[in-house]
Amino acid sequence: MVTATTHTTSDTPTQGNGHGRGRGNGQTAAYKRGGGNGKVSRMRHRGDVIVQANGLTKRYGPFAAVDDVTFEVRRGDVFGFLGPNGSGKSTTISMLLGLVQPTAGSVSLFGTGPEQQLNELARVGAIIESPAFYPFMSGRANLRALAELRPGVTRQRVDEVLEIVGLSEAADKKYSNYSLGMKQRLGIGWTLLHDPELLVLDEPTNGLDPAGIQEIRHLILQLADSGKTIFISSHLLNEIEQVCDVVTIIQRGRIITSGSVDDLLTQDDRILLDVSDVAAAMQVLQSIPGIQSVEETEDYLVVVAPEVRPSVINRALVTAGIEVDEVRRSHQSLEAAFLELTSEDPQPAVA
Amino acid sequence: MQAAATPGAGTPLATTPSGAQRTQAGLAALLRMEQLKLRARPMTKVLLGIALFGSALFMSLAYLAVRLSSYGTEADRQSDIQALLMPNGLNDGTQILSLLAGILIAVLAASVAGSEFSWGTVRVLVGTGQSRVKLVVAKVLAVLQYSVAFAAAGVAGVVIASTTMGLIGGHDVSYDWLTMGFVGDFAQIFARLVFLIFVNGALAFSIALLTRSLAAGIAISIGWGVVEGIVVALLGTMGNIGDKISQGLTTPNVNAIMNHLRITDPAGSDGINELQAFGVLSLYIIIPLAIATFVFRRRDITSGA
Repeated sequence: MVTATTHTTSDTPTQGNGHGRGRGNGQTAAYKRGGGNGKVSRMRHRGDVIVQANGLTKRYGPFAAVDDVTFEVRRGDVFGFLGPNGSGKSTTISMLLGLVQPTAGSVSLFGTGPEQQLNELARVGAIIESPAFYPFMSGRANLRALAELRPGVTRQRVDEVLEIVGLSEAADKKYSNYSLGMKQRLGIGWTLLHDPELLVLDEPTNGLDPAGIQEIRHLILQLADSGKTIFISSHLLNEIEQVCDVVTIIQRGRIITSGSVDDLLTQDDRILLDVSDVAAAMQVLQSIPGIQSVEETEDYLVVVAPEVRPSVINRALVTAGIEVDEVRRSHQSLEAAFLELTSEDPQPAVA
Repeated sequence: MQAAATPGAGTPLATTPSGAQRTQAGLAALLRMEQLKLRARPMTKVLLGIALFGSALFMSLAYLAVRLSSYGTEADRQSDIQALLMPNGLNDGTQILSLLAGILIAVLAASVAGSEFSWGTVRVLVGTGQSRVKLVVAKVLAVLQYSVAFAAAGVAGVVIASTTMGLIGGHDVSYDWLTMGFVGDFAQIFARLVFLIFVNGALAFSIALLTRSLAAGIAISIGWGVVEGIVVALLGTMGNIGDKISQGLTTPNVNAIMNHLRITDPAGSDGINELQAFGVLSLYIIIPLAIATFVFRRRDITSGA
């Protein structure tokens, strides 16, 4: 059985990707520079397990769409569920939401046990695959009708949610006339209607243009800041890298790795330099102890020096009168990590 | 996409909606949701319009046909005209209405079940963790409500057309017959009419839910009557055994109840008493609905279909 228990990052500095996160609902978050490696990291406290998938399996005849998948999501996580198209992401989410009966395994939500799964979905807001609403109704009318599924949700809340997702002006337009971006935002609005503790967003940026993707990303980060636990499924690696703290990668129905995004974005031994005088810099670098090799590429001087800090190199170059435009450690992008994990012929990549 | 909008700007994201509860909705709320959807749907208004104007049109055309006909004696024509005016017009009106509204409800009921699959909205409904049985019950109750609405719209069409033709034709139009006794009798006829309409609705709904197809729900439920007509005719050639078998089909039982859709002179019952007909037709409501609900309850909801 492949077990993908995501480990806590509470004692691991993690990177915020430029989006500082505070935690609402009494949870705390702090951000600090990681010790010694120059990496900006995000550190936060993770709560109790609110999604526990145990050995989830879905077979269609001999074909296993999902095979023995185990993972957990903790309160406060922005959990990325990553995998290529057809890897079993949507089937797994469908099992979480009670749409598909697992062939084997179980789902427990909010620690209440598998038998309470359907009842506990009242605490979850979800969009599965592409958003689907009634085409003959406006966005507002759709939410008002569907609000009947969420006891206690008022008309005022419907309007509030439409404002949150930026659809107030288009609220009375027919859903069939909505653009794809507006449909996605209405989908997110639907998930927020009853202020759920957990949001499940399946491919929330599918089909959006760059501006739309940025808006949805901004919204997701705001929701994370407000204390929601968010489960995002996507095949867009850049999206996951930018918004998620924890990631699980699924391929051909099986989980192949799981952990914090920072752990997947592993650093390597290389330091990248952009300098004014390459020849002079090569000479200076050869005099620094601990540097194993220096290679000139189109964009950078690539220095292999596992034991040397970039600041030491920077100081030596500046002292020698060489202007340094950029000095940084190379790290592996999520895309590179993903390709390495999922490809039989991994491609090394520098980011 | 609204480029100018900044989602969430200045709006608290984690406000707890006033009174929001972390529980599943009750049946009344689910029924309200179905009503909201049906009221907003243009098709519903079109179907109600057809029930109203279709029945009125039928009565008007029948009146004109008799009035302009030179067939038979004048006394026969006057008798036929009287049969189309109030209150006798309700006899023919409810007969034709049971067929017309039966088709209309099949369209509506099939769409209540089938459209959720074609639009993919079934994922939204079921993904809330709501009891699937309750979702089905709410939809069936909505179909029942619209069976009543179609019957009422149709009867209104008959009354309006009969009265209008009476006034235009210079006939004696009075409502002396509208007594409490008449209202009581007509209430029974109306209940029979709603029941006959609902049989079609339940069948169409069940087929659409089973097949996940609006078109199949409509086609099979309407085609059912046609096929049965042929089967009943064939069974009629088989003597006593054929008659016994045909008593288990819908057509003879529908006919047995239709014979009682008359204010005056209920027709003969063709060997099937009304209670038996209600029993048999009730099975045609309950069994398909039970099978469809059982299958839907266990079915995987994938990609909207």
